[in-house]
Amino acid sequence: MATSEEKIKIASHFLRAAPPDVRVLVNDDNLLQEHIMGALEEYNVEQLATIKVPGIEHEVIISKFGQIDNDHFIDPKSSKVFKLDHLRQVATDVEDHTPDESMEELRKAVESAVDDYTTNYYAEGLGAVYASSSEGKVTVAIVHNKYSPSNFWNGRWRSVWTLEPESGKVSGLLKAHVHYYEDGNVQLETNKEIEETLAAKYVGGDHPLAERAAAFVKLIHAAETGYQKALNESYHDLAESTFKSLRRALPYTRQKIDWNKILTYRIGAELSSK
Amino acid sequence: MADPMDCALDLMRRLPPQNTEENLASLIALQPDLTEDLLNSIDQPLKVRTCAKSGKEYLLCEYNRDGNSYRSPWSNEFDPPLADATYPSQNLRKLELAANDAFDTYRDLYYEGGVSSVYFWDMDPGFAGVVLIRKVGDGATRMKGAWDSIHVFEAQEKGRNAVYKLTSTVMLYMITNKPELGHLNLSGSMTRQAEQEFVVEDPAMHISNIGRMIEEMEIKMRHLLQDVYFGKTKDTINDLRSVESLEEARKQMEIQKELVSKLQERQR
Repeated sequence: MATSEEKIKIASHFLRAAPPDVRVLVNDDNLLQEHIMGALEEYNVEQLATIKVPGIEHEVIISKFGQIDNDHFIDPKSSKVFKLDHLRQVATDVEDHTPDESMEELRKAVESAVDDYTTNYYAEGLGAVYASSSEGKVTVAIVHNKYSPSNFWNGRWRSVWTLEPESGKVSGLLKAHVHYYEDGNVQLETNKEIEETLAAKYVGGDHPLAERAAAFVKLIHAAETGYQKALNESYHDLAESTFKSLRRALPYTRQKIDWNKILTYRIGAELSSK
Repeated sequence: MADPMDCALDLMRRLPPQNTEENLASLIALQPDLTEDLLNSIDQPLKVRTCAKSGKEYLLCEYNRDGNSYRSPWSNEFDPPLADATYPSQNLRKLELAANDAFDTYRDLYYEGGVSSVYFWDMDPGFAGVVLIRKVGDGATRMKGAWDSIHVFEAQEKGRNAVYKLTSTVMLYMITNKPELGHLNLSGSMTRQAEQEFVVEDPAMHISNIGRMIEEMEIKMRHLLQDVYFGKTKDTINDLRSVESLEEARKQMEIQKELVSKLQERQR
């Protein structure tokens, strides 16, 4: 029998991988309530959960880049801060938030370019742009979740991009996930890390912020399209070579097996001889 | 509260199939009473062992396991040896040997490699069995793949006929890595069932009947896997993000609409 600590570890893992009815399996509600919030918080932040916040028109992304403490998050676009119930994904206590003035102009320029980009390349995707002067970073989070329970699938695209304006260093992490579960359980998991640098003319100095932001988002656009194209090519390669080499559609004779013959030649004799 | 077994199965359907073994071990830690049921109802990737007597490879599953030992379909012996093990009855063992031989040929023709094993056990009345096939791709061009087929059936004789109930699961794993793409894992399993009645004039006909059923099922499932793995999951990704500008696509749509309405006006 697992110890309480082991149970929580297991339940947290299951919750992160598939937020389900873990209560029944653990069968210890007090234990869960006491410890499971951490797992839910991690899940919401890691998955870039999107939620509706009272008084904010657009959907808001939950991410560690906008996280103040366990359950307080910033929406940079509306300059609001709110409290999040991680279990119900409900926001309350919405208040004004004072942005990081020294980077706000650049952040806004990137935000505007990201908004254009997401409406142009994501069916219903969302983007959020955060700035931190203490870390000297502008971070972009893009997420598109699509759930189709009636068709037994869901899909999720996440990307996180960081720009260090002083050095022009850009790093990105792209993740795509698809789950199909009609009479089965099939999942696609793919991710790619990217390290690049902005062209020297956009780094430091007093280059117009809008152009610097545009160059950053252009780089994001090119890298994400490159990744998606490589993904589509891999699908083709896997289907045409890997899949085919595992099992043929038909034997090389191009005919189904004659089971009577298999019996006659290889088995019949043996069975009747005994 | 709901039934823990239902919850466990429901959970396993939603967890990433890449980690089936770990997740199953965790479930057993939470619900030790369900150990046997869970092991019987959740398919795990097949493992290969070499038969000490024949030198041939065979596959391990719940149906040839007794305690910590597994029975080789070639030698009918348990490894490690067991003092008090259950074996198929003498006639059924003959049929099992013949089935192993037949599916070895089947495997060779469709998989051109891999390992297969067939295990039968007596039922009252009738008998049941499992046909296992495992093929691992060679991993050329940085792409790795593995295919596990698990066909569990029950045969009940009814006069001159027999009714076969088949539950088939195929687990398919594909992993690839390359600089432009990064890391990709496309894996999972699909399960389908079938029931059919055939004539059985002599016991050997059980093998050809089961063989036909499994062959049909695998052909059907190969189509299905192809459709889901390379069609549905790919379409889903391309529905989330578009390679081409959606704005451009919308503009094109508008222009097309305008053209159509103008043509219609002209025809009036």
